[in-house]
Amino acid sequence: MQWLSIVALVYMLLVAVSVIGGGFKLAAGEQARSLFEFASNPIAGLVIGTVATALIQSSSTVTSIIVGLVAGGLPVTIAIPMVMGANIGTTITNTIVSLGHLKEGEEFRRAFAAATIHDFFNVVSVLIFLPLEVAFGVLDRIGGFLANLMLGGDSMSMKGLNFVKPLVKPSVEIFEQTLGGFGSTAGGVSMIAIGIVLIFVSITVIGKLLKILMVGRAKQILHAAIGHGPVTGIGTGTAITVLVQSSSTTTSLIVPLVGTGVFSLRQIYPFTLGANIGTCITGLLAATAITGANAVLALQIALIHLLYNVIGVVVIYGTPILRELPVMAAEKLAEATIRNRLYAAAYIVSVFFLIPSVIVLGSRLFGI
Amino acid sequence: MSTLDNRKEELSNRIQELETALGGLKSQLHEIEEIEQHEAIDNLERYLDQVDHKFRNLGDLWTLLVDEMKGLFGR
Repeated sequence: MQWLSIVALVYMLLVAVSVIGGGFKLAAGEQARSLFEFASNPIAGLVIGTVATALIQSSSTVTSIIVGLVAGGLPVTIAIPMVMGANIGTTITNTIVSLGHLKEGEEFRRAFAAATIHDFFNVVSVLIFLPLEVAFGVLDRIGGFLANLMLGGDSMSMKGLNFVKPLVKPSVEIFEQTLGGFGSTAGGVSMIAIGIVLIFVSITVIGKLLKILMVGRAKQILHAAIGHGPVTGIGTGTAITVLVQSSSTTTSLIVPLVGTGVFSLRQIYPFTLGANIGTCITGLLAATAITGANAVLALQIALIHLLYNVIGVVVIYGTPILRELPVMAAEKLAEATIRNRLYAAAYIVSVFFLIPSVIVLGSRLFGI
Repeated sequence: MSTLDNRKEELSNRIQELETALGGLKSQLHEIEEIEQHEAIDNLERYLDQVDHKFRNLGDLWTLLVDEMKGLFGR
């Protein structure tokens, strides 16, 4: 019964992503780019992705919405910083989980470091890859190439193998016919709003159900990974995140494990990186539901999210100096937080809300 | 063989013995750590509960912050 519910919820997610795309297309028409002009500054896009994910507490929801918006005409170049920001925003969840150890001195230090190592890794990743992307558009190009290869209509295309689109189309058409009657703007906005709510509900409930259904399998995978190296750790983090469809669940699970001192910070570090890769599955799944000319672009942004996370892990974790940066930053912050708990609150408020707001206000004031 | 050579050989053998003993102890410690890790994984459901009740932690943080602020401003 629970599996049937999951199938129904996945279907709802796929329909919702298409509904957002259709709604955005209906409301914005050819004006999609100008509608998102405020986010054409990559820093603004990054901040939108970060804050939206920190508020919704689900990067899968935000990336699925972004896939839907790209399908509706949001330019991929504007969407890229947003998915990067979603990576940062999702780390707030495990940081909040670590606060559960607040009253235990040493235990809190370990738990807080285990939570923030994910934050610092994602910040380092953005600091390296966002400027490179703005300057050279590497992810955009590779993502575009791969998406065209998969859906472009040549002999290697997987277009004919996609059975999701015909399944989703009738439900999407019902939304379009029902809400389209309210006019292009009102109908389009209603479709976007309904789509966002449906994505949020479906991903939240899927996550809750999978947590119950997959806990046994997750245990098996974790047991098998003990005593192996970092590559197994990355693979384990990826696999468990795919199973539970939530990177924040995966990264939050390891916080108490480190807090109690059973696992060390360095042991769980690769595992958190796997969570970054595993979470991309939802966006890719969402992209399979998109029909029409923008299906390639929707797949492109989903692939870019995956590429960004895989390349990030390879480059940062593969380079000894870069690999140490998140470890050092997380340990230093945790030590400071032990001296004064105010640092924990200041960190959460500033990284996820204050600094993003200042950046956006500054860029608007100075017209950057 | 000179006295110094004897002493040198004696020390080398001793170091080797200690290194073997240290290796054995490290391996024992590693085994115990892995047993603890397996036990912790067996209790994964308990940690899932902590994830589900995360917002309670923000309340605890708030209480603690108020206390620290009171301490800071001497009230």
